[in-house]
Amino acid sequence: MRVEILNRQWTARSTIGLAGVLVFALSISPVLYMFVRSLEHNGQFTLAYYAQLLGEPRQRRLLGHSIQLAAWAALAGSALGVPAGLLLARLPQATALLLRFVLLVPLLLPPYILGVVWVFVMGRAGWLSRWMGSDVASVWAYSLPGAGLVLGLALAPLSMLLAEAARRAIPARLIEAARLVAGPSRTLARITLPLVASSLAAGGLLVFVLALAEFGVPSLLGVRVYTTEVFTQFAALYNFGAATATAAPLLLVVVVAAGLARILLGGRVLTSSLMAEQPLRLSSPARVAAQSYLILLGLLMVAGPLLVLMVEAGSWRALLDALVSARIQIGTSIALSIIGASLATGLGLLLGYWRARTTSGGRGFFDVGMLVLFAVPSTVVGIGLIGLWNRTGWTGAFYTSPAMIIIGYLARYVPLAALLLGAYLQQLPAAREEAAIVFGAHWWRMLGRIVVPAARLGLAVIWTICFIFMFGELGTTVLVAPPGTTTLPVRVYAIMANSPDQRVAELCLMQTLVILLSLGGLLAAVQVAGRRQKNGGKVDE
Amino acid sequence: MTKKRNSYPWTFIGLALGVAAVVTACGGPRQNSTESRQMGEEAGEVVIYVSEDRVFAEPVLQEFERRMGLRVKAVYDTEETKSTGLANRLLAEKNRPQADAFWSNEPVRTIMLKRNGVLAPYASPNAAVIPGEFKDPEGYWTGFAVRSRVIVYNTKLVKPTEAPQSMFDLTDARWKGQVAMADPRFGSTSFHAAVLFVVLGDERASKYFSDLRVNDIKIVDGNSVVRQMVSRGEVKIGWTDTDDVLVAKKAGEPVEMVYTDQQGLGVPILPNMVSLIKGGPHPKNGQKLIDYLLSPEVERMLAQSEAGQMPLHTGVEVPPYVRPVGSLKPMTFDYAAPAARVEAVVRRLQGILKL
Repeated sequence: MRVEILNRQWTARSTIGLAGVLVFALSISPVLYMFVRSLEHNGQFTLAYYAQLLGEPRQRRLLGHSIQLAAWAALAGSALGVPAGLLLARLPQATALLLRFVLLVPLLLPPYILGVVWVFVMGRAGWLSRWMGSDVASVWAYSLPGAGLVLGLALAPLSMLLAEAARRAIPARLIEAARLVAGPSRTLARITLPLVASSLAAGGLLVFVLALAEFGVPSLLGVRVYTTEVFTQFAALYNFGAATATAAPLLLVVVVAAGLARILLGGRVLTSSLMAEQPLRLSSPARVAAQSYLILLGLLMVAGPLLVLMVEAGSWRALLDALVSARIQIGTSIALSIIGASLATGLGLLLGYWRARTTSGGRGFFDVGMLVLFAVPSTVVGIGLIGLWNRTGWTGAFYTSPAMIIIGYLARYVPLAALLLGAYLQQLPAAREEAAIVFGAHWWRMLGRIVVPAARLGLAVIWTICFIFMFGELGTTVLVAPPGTTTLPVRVYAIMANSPDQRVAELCLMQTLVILLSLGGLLAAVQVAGRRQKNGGKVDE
Repeated sequence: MTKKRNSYPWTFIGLALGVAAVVTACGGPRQNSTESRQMGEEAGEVVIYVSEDRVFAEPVLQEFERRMGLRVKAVYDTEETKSTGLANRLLAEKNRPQADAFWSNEPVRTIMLKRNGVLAPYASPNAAVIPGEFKDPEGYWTGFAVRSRVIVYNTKLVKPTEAPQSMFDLTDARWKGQVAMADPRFGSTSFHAAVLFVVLGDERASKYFSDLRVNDIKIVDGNSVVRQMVSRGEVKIGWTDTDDVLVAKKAGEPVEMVYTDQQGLGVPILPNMVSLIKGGPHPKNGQKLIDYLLSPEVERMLAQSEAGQMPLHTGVEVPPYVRPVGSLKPMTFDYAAPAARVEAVVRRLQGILKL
């Protein structure tokens, strides 16, 4: 029946087709442009850059480092996130909601902020060394496992969310039946873990892919991996073709990881509702123990880093001054990120809907393609966008305006929105959509009256994810932002480069506060709007 | 019950149109640069890409706006950030430049841009008094407000009489594991490394870096990190730039600096460089801005800033902590030479230092 929804009305096909064209123009064409550049040297076709990758032992060593870093991150992220997610699923909704919100904070921050905190604590002259009286930790702090742990900490909420969702999806009756004949640990080992294993592995792979593409933390900690090599090709050698070719092995690893994820999940979705059936509640002492553990984790992952930044920043006055002096950039970043996240979610909805409802064989290709596009280094995207948009005519008018920053955001994050929404929409039942179409509803009407309301939670979550990523975007923005327009991350990073520790801590704290306050403000606005709508509905009735 | 009108499609379309309108409005009615140039017009603005630290450059450009009544639209970055910087952007924009001028805080990127045909020659009248070694004979760039590479040391850990006076002292076993240097593939350290290959020759320079590696030199993320490590006592000494040390001293950190090899090779001098961009949208305004940046007044502002940059004009008033450039023995070389070698040197150092 699915095919009916998409094939029955030309508006569905043409709208989704248009969205596909837009994604091609925004996200795919800059990568293709750079790929073509990597195949030429002085106007002649060449595969030299790729041959060089295969020939140099140094390149293989860097790739090994990248894989190790991502593996450490996946391990640390799973170790921190999975138990938290499994426990959250067993708590009452209200408690789980609060703890989940707190434990999500590391994901909301640019990873390099956690990297800065790590250096303050574990660095050569960090808190630990000062406390112990000698440098005891820096060898480990500035290593692949150290960088992996920082990234694992930053990305652990992803593992947590997937673990919680998977655990909540297990019907309570299964666990109850198991508990009739087995104890809690045997039930966990023989029933719960096998049922959630594929989701846990998928969460680990997601962390792996994101850590693989991360640049800020390995750069800060002096760990040499493939992303830092791409940067070297651009910043030290100014060789666009070689730099793009250097990204290829990284993207190949992403393809392999995505393929593995697909095998593990068997084409099932990556997300499932956190509002599903309430699992079996924990006994009272176990609930207290679980809550204590999660609060402790919150202190370690959230309160600890914030405290370190506050102590290092020293003065609230300086923080206030930093906020006031950056007010224009804060406003610009928030406005552009809101527009960007809205457009990315809209485009993601259309493409994700196609991905969820198509019966053609393109789903796997779509998933892998979107994941690869998301993992393309930001500088490659930025240079590609300049090559394509900085031309005479209407593209040139965009290029010289702040709209170009939004185009940069969309180029990087529409694939992510489409991927996540495709997974989310697939889990929604299609029966009501089919019924609406059978009864003659227009496709747009069906989308607006059935799909959007049913997916509003997922849309809100994915909009928020896009907002967070866009708000922190640096690599592409610094290349395409028009003269006179600066976003907060560009300003902060440029100032941080030559600033003393106290200033760095102030700027990190400022960025953290701006992200948390703007998200808090947006959530409050949505709640108020929701209440008004509800009250308005009652009056109408 | 009031029947609710079905507004979803229209809300969706309205939202899309609204966003498009905002985006278009952001683009505004401004002309693109080519059209502007074709019409022979120059708006009352000038666009400059600046890799000098924003904190030092911004007041200088604001003063230009105040004096000339022209709006300066600046794109700031520093080559030490991990954004790959403005030089890449200028290269990528070469076919349709958006900037009128480029203010770089070190020579390598400017000369690379000249080699790639991004710059246009301009002989500013204010460049006439700048010494010949600090300007391009063909007028593609002019230097001003210089810094120097120095050895920074921790005054709590190293007495002034014990501080190394020559760059070659850093290979002494006495300093094993106690020296830090920024990654020599980037920023002013890449210039410094390329200068050493030009001045010492490939063999001696390679041996020098190889000896530094044997002496367990710490390669870190940037010059500011070197300064921080020395200041905290994580290492005793390091290579950095004068402005990093002056900022640290002003903040009360226990550091001091040595201008090395004053009895021998001399010390590498790093000028700021300003250039006109070929085909920029406001060439006349770009020239006005370059004239201003090359004025004694700007050198005075940069000398009196925390960066303490040394003026090239004579008679510019400087604070006591800024050493006159004439009192230093500089390393002698043609700036084009290290800039031409920097990519080969980077590749070589990747092998020697295992970067």
